[in-house]
Amino acid sequence: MPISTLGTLAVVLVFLSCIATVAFSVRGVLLRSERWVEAGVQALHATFAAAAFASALLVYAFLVGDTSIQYVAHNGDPAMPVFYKVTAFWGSLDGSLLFWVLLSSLFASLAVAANRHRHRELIPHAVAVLGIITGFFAGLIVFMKNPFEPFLLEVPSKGRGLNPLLQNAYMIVHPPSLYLGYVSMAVPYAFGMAAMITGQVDDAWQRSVRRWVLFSWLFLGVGLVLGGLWAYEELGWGGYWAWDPVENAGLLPWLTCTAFLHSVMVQERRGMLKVWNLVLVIVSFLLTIVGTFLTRSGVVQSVHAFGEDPALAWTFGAFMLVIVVASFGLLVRRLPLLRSRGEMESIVSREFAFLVNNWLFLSAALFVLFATLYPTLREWAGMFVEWAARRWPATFGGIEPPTRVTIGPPFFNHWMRPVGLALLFLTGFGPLVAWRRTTPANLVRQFRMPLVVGSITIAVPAAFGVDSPWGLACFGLCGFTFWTIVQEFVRGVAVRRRNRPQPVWEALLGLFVRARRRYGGYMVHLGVVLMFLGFAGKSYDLERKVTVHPGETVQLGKYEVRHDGLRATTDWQKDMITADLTILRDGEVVAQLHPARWWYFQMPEQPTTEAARYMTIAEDVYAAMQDADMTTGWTRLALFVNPLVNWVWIGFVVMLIGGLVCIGTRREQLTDRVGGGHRG
Amino acid sequence: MALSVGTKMVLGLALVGSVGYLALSDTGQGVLEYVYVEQVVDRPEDFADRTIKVHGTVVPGTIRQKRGSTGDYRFVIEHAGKRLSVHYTNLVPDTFQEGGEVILTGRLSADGTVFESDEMTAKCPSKYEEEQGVDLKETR
Repeated sequence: MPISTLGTLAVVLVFLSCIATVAFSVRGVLLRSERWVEAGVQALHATFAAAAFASALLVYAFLVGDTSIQYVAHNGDPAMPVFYKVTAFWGSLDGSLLFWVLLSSLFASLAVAANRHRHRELIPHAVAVLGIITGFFAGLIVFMKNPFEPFLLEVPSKGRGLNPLLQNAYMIVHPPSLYLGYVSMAVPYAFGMAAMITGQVDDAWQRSVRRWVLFSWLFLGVGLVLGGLWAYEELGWGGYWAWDPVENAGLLPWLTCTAFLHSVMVQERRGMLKVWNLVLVIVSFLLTIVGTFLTRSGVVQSVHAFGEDPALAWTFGAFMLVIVVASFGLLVRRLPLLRSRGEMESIVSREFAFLVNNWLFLSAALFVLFATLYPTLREWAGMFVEWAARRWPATFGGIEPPTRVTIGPPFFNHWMRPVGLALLFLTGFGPLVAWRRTTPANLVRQFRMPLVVGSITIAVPAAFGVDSPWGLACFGLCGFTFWTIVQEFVRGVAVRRRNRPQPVWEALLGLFVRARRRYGGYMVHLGVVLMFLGFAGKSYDLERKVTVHPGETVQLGKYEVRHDGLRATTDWQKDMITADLTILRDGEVVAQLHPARWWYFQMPEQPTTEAARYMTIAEDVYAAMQDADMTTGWTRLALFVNPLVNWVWIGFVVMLIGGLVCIGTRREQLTDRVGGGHRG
Repeated sequence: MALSVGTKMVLGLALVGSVGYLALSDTGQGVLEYVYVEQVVDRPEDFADRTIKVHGTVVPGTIRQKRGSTGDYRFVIEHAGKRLSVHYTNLVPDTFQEGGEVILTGRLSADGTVFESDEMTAKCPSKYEEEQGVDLKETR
């Protein structure tokens, strides 16, 4: 049997298996029959097995180069290295949907297997919801976007291959990482829905899902940062974040996940914010669907969008509408059960800091969402007005349709900068104020040193000539927050050493072992501070665009860039022109840079820019070659000095480690409070 | 004890104040009107003296480039049968090519005949498949 037929059968099996999952589970609930519930669980596992089989087939088709399959013919190239062949599986729309289904069925199976003995009553409902979500994507594959679709007439002999821009190590990890983040949000959502359906909206459902949210949050973060690194190294414009719609699509659920991870602590400690937590889980899940939708439908044009497809857009739209109506409908029905146990007592309290944190994260997410969709909404409004004017010329004839607009980075930066700084402040402030209320004396004791350090970190860069108020504010808050974290570690270590004399490193390790979630969280905060240090550096970066000939030297801030010559070379994949640059500082050679342009044989009309950079902990000297002429030697260069940019990546690694520490928290440690007692 | 009315009012005012401040200090930079070539050519007076984005296709054979300068291009873009001359002074993205779609940011010259631009987004006509190309790459 040809792979295309076998593969099509496999995806149909996935779809049928999803239907069976939902049907068995619902029947199990209605009949109160353990056996049907169990059948639903088994069908869910079967879904995963079928999806794994289909995915393996598609990978196999790429490996053997079965170009009778359209998807393989378009995205595969026999000359590609093996790992690009494997990753070509999710490189384009149809295959990425199959990848969605594979992950979603895998996570569903894992989550259900892990929780089956604990929350028995939630299971059939969660299984049904997961079956519906997976089934939606499986249905898209079966009815609209089958990656196993064969060519009907002639079969081309050679695939076109993966876009060379995407043949990059980060690009192998970036999309699947975002996908892991997107898809794993389905699990918390399913358990949240199960809790609302059964009316068991106490804290049990959250215990099943907190780790999943953390997992999703981690992978979204990895995906976002790798996307940034890719843009920084591959696109040659010297930056890493441009508020591109698809970048935003990954950021949105990350923001709401972050909010949830904080507010869930308030529910745990004070029994407050229950409705809020459910809302955040629903919104996060919706945003992952929006993210998939934005990436895959081409509704908003962007670097990554795969192309316009109105039928797909409508289907996604309908699915999202169903989610919104079902989720919020249920939430409203369950409102009486979700009454808060505690009350807000003071604005100088941990609860209130958490609440403000939540407002900021959620409003940031909604703002970015709205600004991302605004141009599209406006366009739709324009189309509607034009249609109405044709239909009812008497009433609507005179109305000018709204013009199209675009929203660029300056707008996002203007609104998001203060939100970011406020969040940075809370990162330092929140963990140091007490639950319920804080006394003025306590406030002074906690914040005296951080304020001193913050003032120093404003004064020092100012003395060195940083004049951007945003940059200075960011430096100041970095210093402030950094010190609050240091203070917590110092105190924790001191308490442990007082209780039992031991070396400092042992006490420090002890903190992580005994109170992982708390100190892991501080570590995440430390990573945030370091990342913001990198953002602050952006406020005094330097950019020059120059044309130089070999032998000439241009000034770039305190550096000199000397053009030593051009080289033209060829390998089995591409032609290359490389510029040899020498970076000097005070007459001393500090680095050799080799920015290049590559022309892949498979896509000669679209050369790629290979930026080069001289990395230090303080700044990057970054060079991209725009154009070059081998006969005359003139070379056009974009040169940048990016201060502190590497702290963004370093900070993220710290954040990642902190997140992994938290995720390893054992259940019985969740309420552990070690190193406590020093707080009021 | 819940939060007092006074506290809530102060919080509300702080919120309204900061959002209001942000709204007032927003220069509108970043939000740009987006039009097609024919709209500009038909009514140049509507677009005088402000930055806009213009969308069109680069007419093949019109790209002229000043040697030795840092990205000094002249070319013609067209859409719906109307043409507009462009003077572009920046680096071009990798995806810029004759016959390709571009979105240019800039303003119209005083006499309304030339579009002065220094920012370009070029659409790539092929990413994976010819009919599915919506690949944008930006220079800044």
